[in-house]
Amino acid sequence: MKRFVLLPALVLVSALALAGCASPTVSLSIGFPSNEAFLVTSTLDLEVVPLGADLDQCPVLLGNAIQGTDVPASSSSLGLVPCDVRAGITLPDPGGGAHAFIVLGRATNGVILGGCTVAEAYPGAPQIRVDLFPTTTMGYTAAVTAAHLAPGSTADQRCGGAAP
Amino acid sequence: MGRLASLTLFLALGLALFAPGCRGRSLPASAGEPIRIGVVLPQTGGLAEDGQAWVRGVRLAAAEVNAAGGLLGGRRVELLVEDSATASGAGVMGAQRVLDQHAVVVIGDGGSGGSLAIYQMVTQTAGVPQISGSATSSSLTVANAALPAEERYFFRTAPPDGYQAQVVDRIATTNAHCTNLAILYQNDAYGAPLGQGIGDLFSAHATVATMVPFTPAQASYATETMMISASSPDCVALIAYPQDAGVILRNWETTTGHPTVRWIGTDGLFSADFISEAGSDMRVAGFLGASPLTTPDTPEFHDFAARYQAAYGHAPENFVASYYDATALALLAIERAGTTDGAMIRDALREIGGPRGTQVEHAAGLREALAALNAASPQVLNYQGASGPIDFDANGDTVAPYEIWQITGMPAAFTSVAVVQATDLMALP
Repeated sequence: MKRFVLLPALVLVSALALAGCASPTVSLSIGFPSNEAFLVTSTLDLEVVPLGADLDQCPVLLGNAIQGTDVPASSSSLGLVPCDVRAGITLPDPGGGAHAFIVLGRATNGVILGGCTVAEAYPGAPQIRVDLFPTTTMGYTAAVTAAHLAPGSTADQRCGGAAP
Repeated sequence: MGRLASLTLFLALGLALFAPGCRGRSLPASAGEPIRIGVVLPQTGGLAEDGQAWVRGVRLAAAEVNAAGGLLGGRRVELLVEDSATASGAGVMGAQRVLDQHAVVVIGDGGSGGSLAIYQMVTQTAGVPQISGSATSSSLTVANAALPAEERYFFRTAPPDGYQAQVVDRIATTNAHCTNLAILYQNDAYGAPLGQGIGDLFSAHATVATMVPFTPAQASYATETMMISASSPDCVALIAYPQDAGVILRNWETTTGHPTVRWIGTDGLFSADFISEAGSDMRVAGFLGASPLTTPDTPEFHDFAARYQAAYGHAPENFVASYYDATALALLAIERAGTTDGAMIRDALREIGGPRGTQVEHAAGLREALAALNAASPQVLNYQGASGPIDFDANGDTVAPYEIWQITGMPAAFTSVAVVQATDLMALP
């Protein structure tokens, strides 16, 4: 009888503890402009910047991120490998309010892709999507030329299989 | 009723035990949860320009670890950047915010006063390792030495100012031929002990004209420059950050009857920001100074500088290599510890930042070091930093060579006059 009292109590305590402790997360996907862009990108940097009332900060924030200057209070996941985030990325809940989600794509010759999305992130929110665009035509073209991609190269070939 | 009371007590105890764990840093994380590193460095205020550069050094180390597969079985490193605003209060609040978000190490602050405040008010009591790449005050040595070894959590990859005072004394004596030195210092954990240290050394063989403290971030220092002028020095040692130094030099120009002096600075002024804050090349022409040598002529530094150049398009600024090292050491220590527990990371920092063990190449960033830690037969790693060898002593201090710099030319620029090797400096008591 004692066991039947204690067991639900343990379950209750564990459930309460887990509910209070589990880290809520948000989901983000990264859109590449082309298969070629995915293949030549070595790493990705993700910056999450809390915004105040001004929600139109993406152009300035993205420009600063590309230049590597004026980093505001933010959380950063740097050096991500494209194959690892191909199916999306799960982030800890950045807290209330709108945030700018900034992604840079780096190749051997520097930053070649960039994108920024402003979204209100909260657990259970729709997946946030950041679409990348070439930051400069010259840099992007140089990266593609330097990569010497074989004709018909695919993302699956690079990542060793389909996205999970 | 007794059984119900027992059950209630049991539940309350259970909740009480779990609740602090929810906020604490030692809660085991799920396999995919990122490992969060707090970065509390000035992005605004007197050290803004330096602080933004230092963050780039931190970011490069984190990016290299993530590109190599992350830590502890594939968990990515996430940086939580907070602006310490070159002010102790902002740094303390920023450090508390990153710990609230489960940061397991704090990198920062940039200044000594901010670093000391964060250590004493946040990280030390929380048992979270803190590493600065530019805080040089001897106050931090004193703070650590007052604690038992198992309660020390502060480290730094820049040497303490007891060494810098020796180099400034040498500059005043040998390079500037000073006989009557005035010392103008910012009255905080950085400036006060360094000013006192310089004064003690110089007064052993010549005259200290006066020692004048000033409060940082004031609009005018006319009173202080008048006090300096009234003591008729032939040299002035200025211990300040760039913004205040710019104001001081302008005030000096307008101080009636001021003598011609040689100015001598410290590491706080070894920044392009100082030249721009001065507002005129003439104001800073001939300025001499000391700074820990954070751009040594070593393979480790040249490899780092090439990777930094590739990432950011320019050469690393002063102390950037020290911040790369601070972050690299922290991340490698987490991997070595095999956990995010603060005490175990601290112990691993002492090992990797110690003088013994295998040295690994860094040509491809931190990949080789991580591989060495995860080898089938794990090696004791002796990290060789971009800024120098990095061998922590019992107080988390390290020693490094110093550069004697001078500002020359039009446009004004820093040039290296000489390097004082660590072996030429007297050991600190």
